[in-house]
Amino acid sequence: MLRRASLASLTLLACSLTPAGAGSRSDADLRLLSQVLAAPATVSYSGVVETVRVESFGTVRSVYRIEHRAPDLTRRTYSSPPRFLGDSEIVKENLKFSIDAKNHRIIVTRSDPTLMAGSALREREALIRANYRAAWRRNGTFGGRPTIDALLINKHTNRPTMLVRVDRETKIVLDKQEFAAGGAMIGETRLDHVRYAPVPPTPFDLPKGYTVVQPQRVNGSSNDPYRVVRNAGFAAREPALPDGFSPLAGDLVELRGIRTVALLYSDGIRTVSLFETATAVTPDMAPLHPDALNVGGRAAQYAEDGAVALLTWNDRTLYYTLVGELGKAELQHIATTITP
Amino acid sequence: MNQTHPTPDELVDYLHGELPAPRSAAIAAHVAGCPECADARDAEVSVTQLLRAHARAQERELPSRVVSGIWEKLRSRRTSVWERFSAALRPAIAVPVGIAIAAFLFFSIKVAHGPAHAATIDARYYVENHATLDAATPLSEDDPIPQALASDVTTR
Repeated sequence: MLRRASLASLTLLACSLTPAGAGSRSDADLRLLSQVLAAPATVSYSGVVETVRVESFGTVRSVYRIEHRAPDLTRRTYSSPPRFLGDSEIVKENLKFSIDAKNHRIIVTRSDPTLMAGSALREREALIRANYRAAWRRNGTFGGRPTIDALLINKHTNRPTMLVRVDRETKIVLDKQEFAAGGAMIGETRLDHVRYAPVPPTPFDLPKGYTVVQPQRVNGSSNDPYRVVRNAGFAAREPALPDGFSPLAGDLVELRGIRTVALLYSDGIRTVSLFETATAVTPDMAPLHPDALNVGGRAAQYAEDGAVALLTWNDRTLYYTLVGELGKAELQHIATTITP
Repeated sequence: MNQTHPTPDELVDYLHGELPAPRSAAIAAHVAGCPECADARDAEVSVTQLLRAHARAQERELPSRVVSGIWEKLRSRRTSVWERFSAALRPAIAVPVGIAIAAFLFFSIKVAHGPAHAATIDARYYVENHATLDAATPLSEDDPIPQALASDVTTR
């Protein structure tokens, strides 16, 4: 199912989309974007999701049944990969319950509630509008349902980044394809056998008799990037990134016992993480055959792990690592603005 | 919930983070619902804190009266002929030895600081942490692998 798409063919698709239907920057386009982002809060549905991602060792595919009860209850029950057969995840607002059926345990992860608030969606919409232009086509079909297809093109790089196929009636995303900087498809998420109907609350009950486990975090850590940096315990930074990337979330993590600040930036569609440590520590890139690069006159290492790229360097005060599904030139450009 | 009470040794290991993750998780869940074990844990915590406070107290400087007594003893000690002879030679020996040590340190430090020698961590940890942070936002919820189920999780 996963296929590679050349940049040229995507550009052609973009050209074919732009003149059709509404104009690429019309109010109607932007209204449609708002409707797509807001749809899960009002539409209940169930179906089968198939997700494919390009990883370093090949493609990773998962299949799960999804039951979404508007506004904020979602259950995913996995049937593939085989090791997750029978496992499930229940998401309610900012809480995720990962149900490990084989080990009879529930892993609870909690994200900052502000990230799930309506304001977060509005911020995401603002980021997408600031960094992308959409080319819409209003006469597609997917799984027998009429769709509106949109190609999101990055304003900074002028490259197609994502193709979304939206159910014309409900505005639920039925298919999403992501593309790397070079134009290759790096992932696809399909929602098949979709059924729009009220979902009863029963599937969202947690199983009885399971051990509840909470992942270890540094005490007092917060998802707010400013607080994370302030409470890091060393002179961490929250640098401004170029190309519309804004700080979205942060975390204090222990990577092999070394206190590390992790900051997540987004341009609305793509994300990149910046890791900072005061201790001389870098990711072991050797198995990934890294390239030597230059970041503001400093030696750096770049490597790719499937669709994800890593760039690491230091300014003799802090050790930095950027991780994201971005190209080499983009990561290098971002790194140079962090330590010019 | 696991109904088996942890042994005192297990409780100590649990408090010091030395148990395997699954057992640690089971004890955390058990202690949360067992007042008896919660009391035992609190008692163990307070004993640990007492021991740490005691250890810190032992790190204090010696009282000045004791220090001055030691110096007094040293000063009053009678030196031998050999000690007086070697003391007389000391500058002649110490200067070249000092230079040699300084040169050794200078060159060894310079060699060690040629390229930066940073410790390394498996690159996958960075990729996984990026995925975890990403998954906690409303931007992305279609990672093919449920991250929490895929990784080893330890209890808080």
